[in-house]
Formats: sequence, structure tokens, C-alpha cells
Amino acid sequence: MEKSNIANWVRMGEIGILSISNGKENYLNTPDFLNPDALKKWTSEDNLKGIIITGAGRNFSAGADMKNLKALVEDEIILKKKMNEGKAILDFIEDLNIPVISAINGVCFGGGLEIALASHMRICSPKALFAFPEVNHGIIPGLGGTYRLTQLIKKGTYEILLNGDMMNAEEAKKIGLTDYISESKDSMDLAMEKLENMIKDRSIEVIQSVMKAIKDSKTLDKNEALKSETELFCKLAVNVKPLQ
Amino acid sequence: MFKVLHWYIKNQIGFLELSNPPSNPMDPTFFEEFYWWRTEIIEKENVEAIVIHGKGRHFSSGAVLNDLLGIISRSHTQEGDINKISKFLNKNSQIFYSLKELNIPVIAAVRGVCLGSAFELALCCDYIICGEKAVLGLPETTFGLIPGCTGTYILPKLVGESLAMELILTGDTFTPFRAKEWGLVQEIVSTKEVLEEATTLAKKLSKNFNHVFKSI
Repeated sequence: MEKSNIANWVRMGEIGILSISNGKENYLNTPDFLNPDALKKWTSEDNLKGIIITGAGRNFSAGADMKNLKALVEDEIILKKKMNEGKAILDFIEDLNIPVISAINGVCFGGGLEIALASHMRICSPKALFAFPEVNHGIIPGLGGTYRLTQLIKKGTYEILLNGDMMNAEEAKKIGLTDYISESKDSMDLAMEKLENMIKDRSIEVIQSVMKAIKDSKTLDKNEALKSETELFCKLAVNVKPLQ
Repeated sequence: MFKVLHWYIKNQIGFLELSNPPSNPMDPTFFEEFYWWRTEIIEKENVEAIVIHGKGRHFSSGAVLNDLLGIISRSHTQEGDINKISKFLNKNSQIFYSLKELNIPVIAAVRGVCLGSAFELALCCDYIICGEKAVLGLPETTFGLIPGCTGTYILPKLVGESLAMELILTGDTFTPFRAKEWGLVQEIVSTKEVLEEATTLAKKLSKNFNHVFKSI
């Protein structure tokens, strides 16, 4: 196991597991909850085909540690720098060209939910709880959460951001905040099963091509996206042997 | 006129039958004829709606893999890169997607197998009606490829990026019932009623098309 700030990294074959580990609630002590260089090093390891982000113990993460945040606020320049670093980490995760699944047990609040939103799929346990409680402290999500939330769900974003109330797993599933609710009380089981089904027998080139094509579907216009899809297809096809 | 397509008109509804049974594969001839049909024929005909269906038990098994691989590999050997063949094949995606630009409703009437490029064609239609035993999916990644005829573009827009990622990476086939839950399929009927229901629907949709579809 390797560590960086409050993040741990463990490999299980082709899958990398990034867990947030900071006390019972896995509070994010600072927005940059892990070192970007460590993240880059881990995610460029050989034979890595997918990542699961989870919280150590019973919770995913309760988000920012308010005490620390209040101390950070004292110095606006440092606060801005830390927030930008946090955002860069989440952008980096979202831009990874292998699938990233968040396995969510227990609480997933604020910055924790922002991490979950930056991953490509969310799987939670039946007792998971979600919220953006920032508004209760007179602030808003600051790591891209408002943007990613409105991109992901089409209805109810104002309500979630303005009332700061908690949602349970069923409610989160209904509005599309979580993709699946696991049967077992540990969402990790289903996350592993789903990820393994997506990557087993798939070459890294196929996985990267699928991830790029899906990213193109939201960042490029129709003609460019279709052009890119055909190019990715042809690049793969050159190396596929005809069936006998 | 066509070898693997059959185009006929009944009561102002145009029917495009993929006609190379039993599996109605999408070989290079299909793509040539489909291009011709889309660019030279549809808009000259006075039809109020279009129903696309397969002859016999299946819609279509999709692109013929070995034909495609052959074309791409020959081009790669001759040209030294994939640019030219990629431009050529991109026409297939553009022509599939252009069904959305028609100002009449286009309905995919799906019986049996509808996989890969065939499912991509169905996704480019305005409405999918399925027989209850239809088999749907994008299995390209199981052959070391990705969907190459609009699938990676359309699917995330219809079901979201996470489910699109899962469906494309696993390559698993699925039932029309699952597809309806995800919003990919609009209606499921018994297999023998598919064409009849699609025809009734075509009549109904064409009446209101200008009011409804165009305002979306």
C-alpha cells in the first residue's frame, strides 16, 4: 500500500483502489486530499485498467473539515491555491481514460460527493447518504460540484444545492445521482463486479478508445465526435485479425 | 433497383426493408445502397413517415466484421495510415445520423437480432418499437473494436455516460424490456405484431409530426 496525504493506493490485479482514509468520517483535511504527483504516478502504473475510489471504514467522506476550512479562509491566496489544486485533482480523475467507479458506503457529503461526481460511475450501499451541506455554512461546493451535478442530473439541482438536505440511496438512485445500489452493505462488492465485467478480456487500447469516444460525445460537436469515433475504430481495426 | 434493400410505399408510409435474410448483414453493398437511398430517394418520395425493418425473423446482425477489417487493413497497407479509409467510413456514420434531419418520423421496427451497427441505425431513428424477443446490444468491444457508426456519440446522450460506458465496455446484449427502462426503446409488442404496430404508429406520428417533433 502507498500513501499520499489522506489517500491510500492498493493494486488488485488490473484494478487500482484509491481509498480516502482520515478518521471515522474521512474528512477532507484540505481540498488537495492527495498529492497530484502521487495520483499521476499511481494512475500511470503498468497494466492498470480501472480504478475504484472508496472511503476507508464505514463512510465514503463527510467532505471538508470545517475547522480546517475556517483556518484556510483566513488567507485568501492560500485558500484559492488549495481550491484550485483540489479542482485539478478532480479534473484529472474525470479525464482518466480508464473507468473510475466510486464505491460509496455511509456518508458522501460536500467535497466527498464532488469526488464521487468526478468519477465515471457511482455505486452506493443501501444505507448511503448524500448531501451538499455547504449552504448551511454559507458557502457552495467549490471543487466543480455545482457544474458536475447539473451535467449529471436534469432536475432538482437547485433544491439539492439550496436546501442542503440529505438524500438516501433510493432518492439518489431515482434522480440519477447514483447509478446502482448494491445488495450487500458494502458497495465495494458490486463496484468490483461491475468494473471486472467492463475490463476483463478488454485490451487497454479498447478501454481507452471507449473512454475517449464517450468524452468526445460531450466535448466535441456532432461532426467532430463522429469523425473521432471512426478514427478510433479504424486504429483498433488495423490490429484485429479477421475471424476464420 | 437494390440488392440488399427493399423500398416500398403503402398508404404514404415508406418501408425500408433490410433484405438479405436470414440475418440481413450490413455488408459494403448495404452501406452503398443505404447511402443512395438516403441521398437520392427518400426526399423525392411523397411519404409521411418511414419504417425501417428487417426481412424475416431478424432486424440485422450488423456490420460484417471481416469485410470491414479487410477494407481497413488493405487501405492501411496501401496508404500507410488510416486517414483515407477513416474519411470513407465516416460517411456511414454521417448517413445514419442524417435520419434525424428528416422532417418526417422514422421508426425502427425491430424483430429478432439487432446488434452493433444495426442497433446504431435503430438509435438514429426517432422511435424504436421492438418485438418482445428482440436481442439488442453493441458487442463491438468483444471483438477488440468499438461501435463505429454513431453509437459512442448517441448512447451517452440517451442514457448518460456511466451506463453508456458499461454497455459499450461489457458488450453485453440486452432485452427490449431493459432497453425500455433506460429509455432507448419506446414500445414493446408481440413479435408478430411489430410491423403492423409500426405502421399504425407511423400513421399516427406523421399526423402530428410537425407540431410535436419539430418543437423539441
